[in-house]
Amino acid sequence: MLKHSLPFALTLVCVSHFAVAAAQDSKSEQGRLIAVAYDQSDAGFKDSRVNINMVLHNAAGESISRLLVLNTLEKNSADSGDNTLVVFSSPADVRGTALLNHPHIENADDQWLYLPSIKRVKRISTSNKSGPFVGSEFAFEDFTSQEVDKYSYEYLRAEDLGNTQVQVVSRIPRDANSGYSKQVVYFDIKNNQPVKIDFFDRKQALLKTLILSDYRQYQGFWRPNSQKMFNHQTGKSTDLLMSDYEFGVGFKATDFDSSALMRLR
Amino acid sequence: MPGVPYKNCFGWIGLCVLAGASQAAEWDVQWEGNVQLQNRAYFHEPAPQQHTGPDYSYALTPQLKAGDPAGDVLLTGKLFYRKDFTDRARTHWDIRELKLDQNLGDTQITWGVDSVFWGKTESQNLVDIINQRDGVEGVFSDEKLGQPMVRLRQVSTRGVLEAYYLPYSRQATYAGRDGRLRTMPGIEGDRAQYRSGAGQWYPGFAVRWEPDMADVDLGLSVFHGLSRDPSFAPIRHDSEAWFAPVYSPVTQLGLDSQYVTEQTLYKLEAIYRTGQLDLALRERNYAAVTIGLEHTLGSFMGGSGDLGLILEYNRDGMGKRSINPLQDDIVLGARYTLNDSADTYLLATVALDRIYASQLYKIELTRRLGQSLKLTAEAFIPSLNDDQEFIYGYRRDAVVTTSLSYYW
Repeated sequence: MLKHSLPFALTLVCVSHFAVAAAQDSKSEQGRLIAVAYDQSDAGFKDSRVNINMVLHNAAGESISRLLVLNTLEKNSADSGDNTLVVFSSPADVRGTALLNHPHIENADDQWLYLPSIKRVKRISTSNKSGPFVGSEFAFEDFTSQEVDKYSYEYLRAEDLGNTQVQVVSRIPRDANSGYSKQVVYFDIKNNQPVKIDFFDRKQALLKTLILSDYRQYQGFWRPNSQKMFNHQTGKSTDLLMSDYEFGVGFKATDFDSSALMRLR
Repeated sequence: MPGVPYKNCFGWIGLCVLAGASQAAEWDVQWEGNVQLQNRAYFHEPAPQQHTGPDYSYALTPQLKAGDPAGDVLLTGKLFYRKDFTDRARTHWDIRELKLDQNLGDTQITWGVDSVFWGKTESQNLVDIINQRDGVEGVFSDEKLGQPMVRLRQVSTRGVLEAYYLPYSRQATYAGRDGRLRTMPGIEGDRAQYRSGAGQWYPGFAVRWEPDMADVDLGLSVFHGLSRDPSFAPIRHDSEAWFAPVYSPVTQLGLDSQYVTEQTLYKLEAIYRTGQLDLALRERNYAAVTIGLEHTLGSFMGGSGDLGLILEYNRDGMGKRSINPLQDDIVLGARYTLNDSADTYLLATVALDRIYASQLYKIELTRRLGQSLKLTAEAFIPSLNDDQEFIYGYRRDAVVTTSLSYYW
């Protein structure tokens, strides 16, 4: 509306500015759409359970293993993400230890830790999202559910990653407490699933790379059976090896209450 | 060994029953447990009658769980045995758990021996009254003796309601004649006296309600039964002075709550108790409170660890005559969690007593070695200057307890 009354030069500047902005908007929109497509591919899974063997490798080549069960309950609300419950069965001294997470888009997540030796359910502070998850190369924020609105997006390019055609999208965490300045995600064109993620630290340096592989379809939902996180700065890595994916477990909301931690078996 | 009649043979029978049940087809059975070697090294020479030099002990904790295929029934047995080579009173058995959990949808019923935790704060848990403490296990710690009970738990979206029937009460354990970390004179746990005809069979009842709320965690509880905090009557035994614990029936109203923000937890526990015996063996109605906060600094100093800072204040309405050492005490603490693969954890606290100007320091370090071993080192350093304080007998007992546990 201003354009009509302004001098030609200024109009040109404005138009070009709008064009650039529009192009950026469209790149951001394009990136977001890919993330939405990924999110949609998962919609309606209701709940799931999977056994995970987490193998932690240090730079010297030594490794220890943790066995855990990851339970997930899908949440379809605008302000909260999928509830997750992690129960450890190994190492033996932490057997039965459980971590319950209720993620929120705007507010801080709610987290509870269950300590079976003293039967105590303990609220834990959630400000340290960037801290390592039980000594692994996965941060807490990598391990909890990835909601579309936790990031802003930019579409980068299409390319071939080995034999896989991918679309590359950069996503920037909206949470100031995130340990990352950005993540670059490689989505498989065929099934909209991420196959690789580069994580950049707060100083914009490449910190970690996650390779997601051995995707299989369970009741129509794609899941990776292997996730390998490599830390470029320390040389340490963590493998997550999944087995026995189960969907339609029949979890209820009360199975993901803090009181449910006392009923774990 | 303290003479609680049911605890030795019934524990093993229970485990055998569980083992038998576990042979039924398709039951999910897990054998678990740990064995621990422990050393206690003291900084100072003891009083004359106590053992000089370090204490050695070992402990066994076998555990068996058997769940039915449908997930509606769970049998659990967990026994505990410690052999202490110095203190005969510290050599003891306990059934930590021997119970049947029935899952009936939103209702769960527990029959048998179990352990229960109530509370929010770190320096002590005033509201936590279901279980008696296994006092010889730690130094002012919260190791618990198994408590026989029937528990009904109802879970709904509005909250959790629990009701308890507690047919029998346990006797607290105390270090013996040779043992250290005790009052002077010592306390003979199995010479307990009761201010009720039924003795240990005085029935207990409790109800707890935890409403489901967004940023506030709340627990409201009512208890009637024998107090878990005895007073002490002087007795003579083998012409030596001792104390006998004296238990009385009490009624307690409890409140524990916590307000949650991103980095800070604000905590409050408060009780009002009637019928409690004070140190002068008078029945008292009194209130006690613990209030404080826990503030967490994530990625402390740029590392991967979290530093938690604890500040709490404890006040007990009975003051100098309270059976609780935290009568008017400020507790400061720091907890450093490394978030490493060994789950390394450091906790340092000090209790500053405003009545007797005494201090109790504690430092605890825990880390796993490899896949199955866990190392724990705990230092306890008391600074006690006033012989009027009931725990004055601990003044020479600065100690480092080192425990190595193997888990299977």
